[in-house]
Amino acid sequence: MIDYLAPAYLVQKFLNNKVLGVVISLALISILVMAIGVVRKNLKESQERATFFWVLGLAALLCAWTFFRPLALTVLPDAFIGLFALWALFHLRQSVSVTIVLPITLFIYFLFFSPIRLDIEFDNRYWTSLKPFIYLVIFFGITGLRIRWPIRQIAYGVVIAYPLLLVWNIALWWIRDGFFMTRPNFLFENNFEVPFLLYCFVIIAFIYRDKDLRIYLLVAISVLLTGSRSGLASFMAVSVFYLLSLDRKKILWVGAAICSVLGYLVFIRGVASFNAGRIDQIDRLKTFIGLLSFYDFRFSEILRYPLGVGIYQKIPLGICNKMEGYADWFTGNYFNCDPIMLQSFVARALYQFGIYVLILIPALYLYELTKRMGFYMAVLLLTPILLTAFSVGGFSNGLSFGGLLLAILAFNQTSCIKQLGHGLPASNQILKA
Amino acid sequence: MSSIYPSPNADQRTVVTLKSLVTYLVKARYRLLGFGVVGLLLGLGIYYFCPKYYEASFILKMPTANGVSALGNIEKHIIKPVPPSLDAKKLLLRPEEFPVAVLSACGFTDNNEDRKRLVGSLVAYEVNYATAVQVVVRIAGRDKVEKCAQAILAYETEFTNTQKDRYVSYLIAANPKAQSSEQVLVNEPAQLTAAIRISDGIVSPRFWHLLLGCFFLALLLSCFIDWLRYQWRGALSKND
Repeated sequence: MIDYLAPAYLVQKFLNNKVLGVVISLALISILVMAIGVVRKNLKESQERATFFWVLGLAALLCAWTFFRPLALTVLPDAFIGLFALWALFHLRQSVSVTIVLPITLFIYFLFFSPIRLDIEFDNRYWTSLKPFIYLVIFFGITGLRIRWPIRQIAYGVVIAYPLLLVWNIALWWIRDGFFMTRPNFLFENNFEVPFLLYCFVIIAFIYRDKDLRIYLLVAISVLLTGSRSGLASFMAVSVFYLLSLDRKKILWVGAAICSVLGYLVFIRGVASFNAGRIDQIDRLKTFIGLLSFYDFRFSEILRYPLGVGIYQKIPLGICNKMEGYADWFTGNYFNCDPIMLQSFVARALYQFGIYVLILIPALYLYELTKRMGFYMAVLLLTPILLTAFSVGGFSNGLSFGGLLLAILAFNQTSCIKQLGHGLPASNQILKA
Repeated sequence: MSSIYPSPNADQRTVVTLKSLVTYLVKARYRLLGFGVVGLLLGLGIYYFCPKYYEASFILKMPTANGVSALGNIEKHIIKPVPPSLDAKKLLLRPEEFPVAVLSACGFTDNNEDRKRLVGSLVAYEVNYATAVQVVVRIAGRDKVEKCAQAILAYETEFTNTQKDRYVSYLIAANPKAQSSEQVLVNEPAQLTAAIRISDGIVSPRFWHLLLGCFFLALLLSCFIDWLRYQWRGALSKND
């Protein structure tokens, strides 16, 4: 049996692909150096540092545990959001927009009045489809919420720890299988984890206004390590906001970093997964194009289903079979054509809810966020969740929504502190206590 | 560890708290209950007065025969469905062609509107790699749906077998040797691979879904009306 950790074997592997070896080594060294620098700068209290290292150690242990003994952790983000929503209900103290009626009505309509599937067919996993409406209701109920959680430490902790945990995951793959994992993750699918990371970055860079380039580079390396295409697209979009918010000198540095990223993608990582010529091979696009054949590739046909086909209907069998293997992948049965197999929120919502509701969901977020934070912050906060909606997750994913919630809470906390600094109602003095 | 702070700029009149929510629910309990009961009654009314739809489904395997080359020769090693399952599916989508027997078995009369309604009551899928057709029909009444499915099955079987027989006749005519030497190796009629199945119960309307849906919509409507009244009063007091 090969000893994957034997120095001679490792050297041989390094020499087999020197360029990749050098890039990965540089990335590892950069992560460590920058992580230490950011910890020193931002976690000044010894107690904060101790907590960070404890949490990092526990996260690494949990990562290893789930790696060797897979656990059903997919419900964890939703369970946390549910508990938080309950807590927020007890502490509700804000104006609630009447537009909350819209997601509630749509929830009731789709749950109780959707056209039903055939009697001989299995039930869909329709609760996943309904999650965007539940999230919207929670969202409308917490947009004014102000809490005393250590969001700053959480955001910094995630940005510093995530690349380290990805490296740890790569190491675990190497230890077990002697295989260089090109798409590592922490606990969940990496496409789900990246939006949460991006929200932590947005919190640090745009809410706490910490433009430390090391933070940006740590996030960039994390996104590249995950190999998530939707994550990369979201990161690039957020980078545009970031770039425009910097001074000239830093713009050059960030520009150089972006060029390095593109260079890595094109020349080192290999263009296979980012090849525009093979774009129709991307599974989410494949399913989306497959779905469009249901509408005969006509916009007028899409408009013929103003409220979609509902949450109980299957993908028509002929179209489902064209995307061979996807139904089996998601439901364990080739003929159980649950729309969950469409993967992306956009495709699923277009089919199940229709084009108007598909547009309405982000529009409601934009409307409420603009009202609370202004248009710029609203667009910025909507970017990661909106872009990942074209891939997996998006508005129906707990981690994406959780990241958005965290950003809103961080914004409210910061604006509350600013008000305190500018003379504030006596009732808010508690924050200083 | 965590505490909550009141929003300093929020208009106190519009701030919602759990207490205000509970107070509203307690104050408006009779109205909410009334709306809820009306919703339930509406749901019950819809359920009892709407026709009860049942579902019948079956899968028909297409007849098969040998393929034929461009020159009209029999391809011994090629077996294909005749007619293609797509043709069998298309047959059920044309309102004009349904015989009166099928229409009457399904409880419809021979007029254009009913013919279109019959097409709207059924769906057909090509299944098993387009070697079979699954037909599902939804009609009010359990007995009627079964009879309707039987009539459609007979119509579909007759159509596909006729098509196949014509095709085989052509093969034999084009290949005179085939008549004597039985070169037409494959000549199978349509077969029912999944017998007619009737739904376990009423498929539409669904009792609990309808009742709960009407109940919750009525509650929501009540809250919305209260909000409108609240806004109206606010507007009036501003004008005063």
